[in-house]
Amino acid sequence: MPAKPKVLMSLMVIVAASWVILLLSAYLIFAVVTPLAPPQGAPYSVELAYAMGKALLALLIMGAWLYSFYLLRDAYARLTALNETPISSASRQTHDANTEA
Amino acid sequence: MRRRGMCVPDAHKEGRPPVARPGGPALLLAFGVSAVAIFALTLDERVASVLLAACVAGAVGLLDDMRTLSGPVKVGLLLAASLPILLLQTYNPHPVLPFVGHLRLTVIYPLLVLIAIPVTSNTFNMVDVFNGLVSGFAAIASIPLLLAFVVMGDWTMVAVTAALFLALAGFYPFHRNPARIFPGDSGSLAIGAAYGAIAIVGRVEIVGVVALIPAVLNSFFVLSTIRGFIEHRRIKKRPVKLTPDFKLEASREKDAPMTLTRMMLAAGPLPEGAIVSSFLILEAFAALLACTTFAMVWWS
Repeated sequence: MPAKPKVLMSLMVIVAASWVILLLSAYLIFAVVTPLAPPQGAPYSVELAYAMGKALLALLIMGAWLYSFYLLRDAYARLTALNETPISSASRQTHDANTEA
Repeated sequence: MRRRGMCVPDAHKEGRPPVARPGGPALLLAFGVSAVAIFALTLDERVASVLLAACVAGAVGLLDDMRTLSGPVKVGLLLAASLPILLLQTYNPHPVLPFVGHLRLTVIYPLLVLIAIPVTSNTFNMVDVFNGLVSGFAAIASIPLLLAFVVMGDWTMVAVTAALFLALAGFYPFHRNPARIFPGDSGSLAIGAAYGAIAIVGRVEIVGVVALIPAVLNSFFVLSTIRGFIEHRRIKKRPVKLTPDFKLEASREKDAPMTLTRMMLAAGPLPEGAIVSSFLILEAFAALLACTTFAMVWWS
């Protein structure tokens, strides 16, 4: 007998959400950010600013993608309504520390 | 293997019975013989790349089975498993993404290949924690690749992927709960390298990534809690504990690694076989998503 259906379904939701976020991140990076181009004949400084801006945006999207893993993990606890689910995210640790204080 | 002392205790069983390890060389031999035959028939360099990548990763794993390597050293050595693909230039720097189409990644793609093989190898290595898990998981993960190659009509890659699938399917009955053999790092790293190499040279990278989502999530959760590359046998706090009736329960220690298993056990203790079944169900779901992704690529 595998894990309880509620647990399995919640984990499937996490996997499906990761899939959607992965495809969305890839779309944003390659179809929205990458084609951004400065106007033709723009000075070198503008081209450089565009290139750096694009790299920064791509990094931001990748960072958000990774951060979504934390959010999904914490959402799991709420989805399963299992108060004892071990959570070690920074936000939870801060919350616990504040509560203890 | 028992007479030669090539056994390790099965930590999740009563009395910790000895189980033969490593089964990686046998697994690699089963895949290798088929891959050599396919190469002899087709002379397709992609087959050679996949086989060489698996052999290099298997050799690193064998070294790790004999004398435990540190995490960073293992990752460093695994970079060599990417070299066959780069040296034989069997990659295509124009991967295809759904809704985006062909990408032009001429400069960055070789760098991605260099890190992709260590990543896939370690991803499979990190799910090799229960009887029958890594072999069953990899067999299911290879099905979307197999179907994609059938639709694409790439029969050489169909044959290579089928060889990997059949090697895993042949190994699974010996590895399933209760295991008679463990693949060891030589097995899990070779499986991961072969899988990654097949996805790259067969140009189904995104399908390969999606099929691995449960394992990728597991690796991310572990790495984010232990904060770095540490060999899994050296992690002091365990994510799960064994109950007196030989079930596994989630650790309540806050700094224990957060793994998918620990999350699976949130509702209460489970026997090892039930955890493996849950993992395989989750992987089957990810394989379905991978097939959907391929359909999206194919029709976009």
